[in-house]
Amino acid sequence: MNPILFWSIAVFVVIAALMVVRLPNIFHAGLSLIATFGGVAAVYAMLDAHFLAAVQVLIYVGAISVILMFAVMLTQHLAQREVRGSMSRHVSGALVAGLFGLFAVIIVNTQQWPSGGLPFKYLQAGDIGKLFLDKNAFLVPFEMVAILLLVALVGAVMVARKEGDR
Amino acid sequence: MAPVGLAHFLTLSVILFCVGLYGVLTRRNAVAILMSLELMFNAVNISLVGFARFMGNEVAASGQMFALFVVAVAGAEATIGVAIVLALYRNFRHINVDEVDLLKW
Amino acid sequence: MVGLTFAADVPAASTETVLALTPDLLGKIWLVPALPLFAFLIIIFFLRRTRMLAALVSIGALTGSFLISAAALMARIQHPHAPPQIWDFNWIVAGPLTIPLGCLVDNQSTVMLVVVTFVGTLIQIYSTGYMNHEPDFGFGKFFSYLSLFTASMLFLVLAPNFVQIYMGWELVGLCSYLLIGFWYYKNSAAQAAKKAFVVTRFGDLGFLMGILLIFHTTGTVMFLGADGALLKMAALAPTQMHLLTIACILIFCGAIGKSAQFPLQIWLPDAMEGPTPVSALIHAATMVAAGVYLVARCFDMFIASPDAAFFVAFIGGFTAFMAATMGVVQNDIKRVMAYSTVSQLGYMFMALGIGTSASFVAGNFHLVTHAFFKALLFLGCGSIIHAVNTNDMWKMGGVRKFMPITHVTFLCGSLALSGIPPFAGFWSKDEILAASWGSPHIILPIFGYVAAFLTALYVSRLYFVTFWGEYRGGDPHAPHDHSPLRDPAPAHDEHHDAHGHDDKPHENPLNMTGPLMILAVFATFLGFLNATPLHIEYFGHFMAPVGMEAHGGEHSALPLILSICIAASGWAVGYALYFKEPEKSEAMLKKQFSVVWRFLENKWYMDDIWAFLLKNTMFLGATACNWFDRYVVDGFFVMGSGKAAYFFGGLLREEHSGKVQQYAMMIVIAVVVVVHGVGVAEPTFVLSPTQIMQHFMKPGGTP
Repeated sequence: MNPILFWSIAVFVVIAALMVVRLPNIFHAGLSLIATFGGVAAVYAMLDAHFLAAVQVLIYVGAISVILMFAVMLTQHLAQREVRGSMSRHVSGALVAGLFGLFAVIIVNTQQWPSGGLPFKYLQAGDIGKLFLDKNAFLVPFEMVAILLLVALVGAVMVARKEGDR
Repeated sequence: MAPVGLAHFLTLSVILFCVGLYGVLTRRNAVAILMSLELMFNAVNISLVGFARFMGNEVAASGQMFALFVVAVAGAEATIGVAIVLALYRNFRHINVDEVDLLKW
Repeated sequence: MVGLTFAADVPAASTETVLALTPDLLGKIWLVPALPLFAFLIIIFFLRRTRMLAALVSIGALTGSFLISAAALMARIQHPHAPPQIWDFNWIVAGPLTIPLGCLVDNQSTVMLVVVTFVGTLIQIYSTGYMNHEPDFGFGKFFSYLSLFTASMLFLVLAPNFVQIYMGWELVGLCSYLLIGFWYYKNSAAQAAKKAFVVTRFGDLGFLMGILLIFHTTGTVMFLGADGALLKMAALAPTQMHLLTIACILIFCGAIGKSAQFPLQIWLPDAMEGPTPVSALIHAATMVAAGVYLVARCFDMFIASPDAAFFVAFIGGFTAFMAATMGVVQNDIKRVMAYSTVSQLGYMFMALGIGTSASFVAGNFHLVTHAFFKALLFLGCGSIIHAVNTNDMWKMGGVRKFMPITHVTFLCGSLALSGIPPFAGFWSKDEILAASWGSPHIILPIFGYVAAFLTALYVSRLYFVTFWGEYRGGDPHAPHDHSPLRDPAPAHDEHHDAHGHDDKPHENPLNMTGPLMILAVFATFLGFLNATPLHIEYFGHFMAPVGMEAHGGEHSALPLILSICIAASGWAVGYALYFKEPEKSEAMLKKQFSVVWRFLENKWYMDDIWAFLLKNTMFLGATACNWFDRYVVDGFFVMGSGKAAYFFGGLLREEHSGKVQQYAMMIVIAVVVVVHGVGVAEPTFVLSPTQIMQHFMKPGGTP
């Protein structure tokens, strides 16, 4: 694939992510998050996972970001700036994350990965659907996820309700 | 420049993960922490899809399916997280996690 | 298993193998210590309140022991060169170690048995009179203790090995404690008993170390025989002289303690707090002689080490001299006798230390004669004390007028002690002094002769001040030196009525004067058992150490004449000073020699020196222990561990900040560490980042 494409999308994603974690205004951070999700969808597209890219946009941008924005708006004023944490906190966090990242990057880059020549089956939506309903494939996890979502729904309602309500 | 291979995507995944990690460890607003957490989920997904793409037929389907499941679960998790944040807000009138340290010595 | 064993391979002078004791008699030897022990048990459990019955049981048991001992002695006299016979049973059997308990019958032990039982019987008879002021329970208790003591002493004498002699040693020490502190409510008596026990224990420590050393070196604790400890130790002489010398000196430490030699002589004068029969029996005739008996037993070992032998002789000689100087300034008649005992014991050790056959015989002979005449002297003192109710010689005077029997017997004893012929002490002490001439060390005869002069001096002082002159005493019935809990003196009132309201002191009844008279006979004539200048050497032949010349060879008449002159001059000085006006002489002496007098009166300041040493060492030790306990044990370990726990807990407590992000950071760090660790442990599974970086640094990149 085109290196230029890859690099530009990669840079975009990383910068957007950095903005998410660094912008003091939480609303701006949320917007950056949406941008990140978009970028990640593009990455999926580059990796020939088109269905997943679509799902990414639908779910992450369309639902999860909205939930987070709801949370932002319900819990503080829009223009409020976040109170900055102490410098030592930032330094230690950066150090830890940086160290972890450094190690992981080194590990990743020093393995012998196969180049893109391996046979690759391109999954259509239908293929994915079949896999979901195939009892030897992903049927059980599929049903489990359904239950999980139900539980999450009920749980969220229970956790977030006012005290004393039924 | 070398052809874009699995290593590049994995590196991207790692960087994104670490950025998210930094955010989780550093941000004081609870919702910001949730946002950083979503970043980490996405990073993992990139890595999974990358493996699916580059490691051959056996894992191709598994990788993308796994990523789909991750998306679903991440959604559920975000929901619960927001519910908790709302409950937190109701009790403390703010969501500054540094000041929510009642379960301490 | 009870058995009759014979000390085999004892190098005997003659080739006789006839047994001295018949198996019948030998089988009954164990009764000798057992009878008094039974008497003790019977009296303690049943007869404490019955006065005369308790006394009878005790005296009867000891008489029985005496008869058996006499029979054994007779048997051995008939066959003096027979090998020693042992009746024993195995008490401890532990692998290669076998310790038997039993009775060793040979010339030395039979002589000692007869001395102890005979003198002991006489003293017990005497006690029935002396202790008649005691209440019932005290009277019975006294006889029970006396029986226990004689049982222990006989057990010690009959010991065939070091372990048994040590056991007997400790037992007699216990009995000494019980008897010195008999009137335990008197604080001075209780203190004296404690002092005696502790000081002798001090010596016993050395003794025990010596026994352990001997056992470690030779593997046996038995005395006699070619494979007995003594000969084995003696065989070490050429190669390991130091070991032998140290062992001998350690054993001698026990004797220093028990026989009150320098520097542990401090307990014996204080022990006079006990009743006079106790002083006579234990601290004159028998227990303190146990030290001499021990060294005599181990003679084979001591003579193998000339250094140890000289040590013994020197300590003995020095003690003889030192104690004699202290005896000259005492006012309490019992104290004078106590120092005299210490001094005479010193003579015995000096004799043993000189190491020749003649000196060995002389030392043992002096032990025997001393037992008799010292017991006599003590009982005589007791007789006087019982009559005049005071110990202080300056409150007596003219006693000869109203206590004639006591006077004569006491005079016999005094002459024996100072070594005037033909009394017993002359023959034995003269032998010792003569033998000391044969020693290469000139200091020994010097000690001996000076001490002889002082002996004559203090005993003549005592004699003249007490028995001659005018009676200086007050009311003889004022309470003193007797149990304050005594009955309201019915005995005295009876005496009163019988003598027609006589207020003056009077002679004691026969149960007290009888033993005095018997002992006086022995004190006068016993010496002729071994009057070497007259070539009578029964005792010498009997007691000669096996393997040595049977008698010490001729010696000139010079030592003989010298001793007589010195003794006589001592008496002459005593007469001159104390016959006519004793108080004036005493006062004059005190003024003229005040410094010396004070030095002697304070016992050469030895009590003070010991107190200072012990106090300071104990104080140092106690301070060190206190510091250690306070700062190391308590401060560092106890408080320290608490504080450390608190400190580390405080550090760890910070973990629980309640801050979620901090927990998250901990998790991340942990993951990094774990991955790194797994990579180090199993490089093929996960590569540790540092490994990777190393490969990465190398030219050519990937692993």
